[in-house]
Amino acid sequence: MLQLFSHYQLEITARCLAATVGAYCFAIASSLGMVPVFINLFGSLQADAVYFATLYSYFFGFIAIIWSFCQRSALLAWRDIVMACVILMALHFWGTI
Amino acid sequence: MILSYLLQLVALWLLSMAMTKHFRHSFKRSLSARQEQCFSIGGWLTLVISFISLLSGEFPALMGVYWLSFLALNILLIALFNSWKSRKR
Amino acid sequence: MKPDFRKTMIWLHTYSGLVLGWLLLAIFVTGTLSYFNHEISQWMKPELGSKPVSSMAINQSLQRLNTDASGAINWRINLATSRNNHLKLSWTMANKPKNIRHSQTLDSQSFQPIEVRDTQGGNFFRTFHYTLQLRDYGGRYFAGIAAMMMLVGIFSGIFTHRRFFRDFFTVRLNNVLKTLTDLHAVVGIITIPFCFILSVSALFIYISMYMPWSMDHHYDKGSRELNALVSTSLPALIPANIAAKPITDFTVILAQVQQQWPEQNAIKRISYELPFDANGRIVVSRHKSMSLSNKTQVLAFSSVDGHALTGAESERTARMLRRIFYGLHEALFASAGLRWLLFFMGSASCLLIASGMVMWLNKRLAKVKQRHLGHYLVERLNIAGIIGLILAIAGYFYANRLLDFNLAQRADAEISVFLLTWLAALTYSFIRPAQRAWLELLLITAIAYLLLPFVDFILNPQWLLQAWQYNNWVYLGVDLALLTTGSISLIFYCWLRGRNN
Repeated sequence: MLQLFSHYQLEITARCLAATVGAYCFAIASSLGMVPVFINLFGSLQADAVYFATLYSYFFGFIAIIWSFCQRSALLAWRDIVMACVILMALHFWGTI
Repeated sequence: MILSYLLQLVALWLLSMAMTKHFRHSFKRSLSARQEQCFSIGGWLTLVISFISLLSGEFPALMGVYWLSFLALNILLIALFNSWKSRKR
Repeated sequence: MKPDFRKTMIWLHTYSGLVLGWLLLAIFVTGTLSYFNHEISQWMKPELGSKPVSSMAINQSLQRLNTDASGAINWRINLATSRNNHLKLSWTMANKPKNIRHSQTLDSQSFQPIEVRDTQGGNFFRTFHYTLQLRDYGGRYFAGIAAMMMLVGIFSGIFTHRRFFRDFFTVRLNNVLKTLTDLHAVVGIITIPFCFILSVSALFIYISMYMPWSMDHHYDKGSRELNALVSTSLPALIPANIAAKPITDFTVILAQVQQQWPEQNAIKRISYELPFDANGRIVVSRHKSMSLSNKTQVLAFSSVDGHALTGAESERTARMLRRIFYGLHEALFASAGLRWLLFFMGSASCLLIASGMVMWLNKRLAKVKQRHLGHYLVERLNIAGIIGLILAIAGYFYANRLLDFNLAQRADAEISVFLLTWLAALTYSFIRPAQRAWLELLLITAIAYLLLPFVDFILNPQWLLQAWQYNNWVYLGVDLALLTTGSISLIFYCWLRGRNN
């Protein structure tokens, strides 16, 4: 019983961390990573692209918050967030080359 | 603007009448499938008309804000009206 | 945790609401009041009087500036509006090492300077609702977190109260707790668009604080440089260093302005830049009553002969998107009717949050036999957070009327009274049994609000009489709103007492 209880608490803590720290990191990654996407897909100016990417980053952060509570386990939620961050940062570095 | 507000109120009332429970409270008989269809189609149609009539004039964006504010007020009115009806029963 | 989506959402709704509920409530209550920012300011500065402003205001002000502010590097006239009878002149004298700013408030008919009590007025609520009076201690970050929490609350709330959508808004009246739940749901639904736009725009307003990473990475000076790139403004003014006299008869310019802006009372502010220079410029700013965006539309004229100068170009889409959200948040476009509708939705949101907090507690108290510390804390904080806040606002108004006119730092003292009243309500809620505390604080609040217009009348009957004489519905409206708040508190008090017995 004690085992189960502490496991539950750990799970909740991990999810809350994912929803706060993870989601914020994800939002930052998206505000960087979406810039080349806007420039290349929609032909925006760089200033516009940065502006839009920053505005839309809240949306990404929001998705991450919901996702970190909906995924089957906290570990999986963290895995998804980290993976998505990696993809967005890869986009960002691809943009800077 | 007032017309569009009233149309919206009517539309929401029609939509609420498409629900079995509200219909029974208001008319004291049960709702047939045919009536339900009429009410819901009529309701949605009126809603669209009120939306278009408000936005077709000047300042459509500003009117959109008006329309949404009206919606808030009207839903509350309809909800209270229906609850009051069902309590009187 | 259970993997079921809906159950997750209910859990999220319950606890996200609990964590920041009181903070959100404080933000929403003060934010809702700031819809009537100017009106409240008018009430809190009764010296402004209620006499209608004559059409001479601009020329009279210019004459006064010409005599009192000769040689200034800029002049500014903030005209009185239908919402606020405040005609204010200000100017800057070029003094080394620091420029000195002067300001003067004029009587709306005699155009003589008048002394107005030092107060933040309704602006206090506006600043409080995003800084929480903690501007230097990260208050705006707390507000940002609260806004994000509100979005999570809305999203999860839609799934939590799914039944309500299916039943098309039935409020069950047979059981108090069920009525409360349904009321929570119904006000929740009607305020979805409102709360959504408010929260999103709140986040958008402070992108440079909450999400500075991308702009800091791409630009050396971060948000400042980015904003300069996407915004447009009037061209920089280059002084000619040739002395000239500014025009003080505004009729020439007024005719040109009316061609461009056909609505009545279009002008909000008139600024003269370098009025005593041959290159001087007059910038006329328009009221935002016609567009959702928070970009102020301006026209520029030469201050020597009054011919039109080139204005600003229109802005880039990205900037406009944020401008529109900003404008929607401030709602400066709203006419009196829409303003009341927005106020109604704001109040509904406050009711939504408050009922949510009360429900959380009551559902749990009904289930558990042994209360623990958490329940006790939530119970007390509910009292202080809901009724204490409303009482604190009354305290702020009383301070405005009762504090000495010449008190040093009077505006700050008013705010201290607000915070101290709140603290007192919190303390009171901890030393009394919960039910008693609710009742007694409600009664005190009701009496406080009901007495306030009479206190105002006794202090100086002239204020109210003049407002009545000149049909100043701003002043009368605030008085009526105070009486209404008091009556609602009283009705609530009677209802709650009847239920307890």
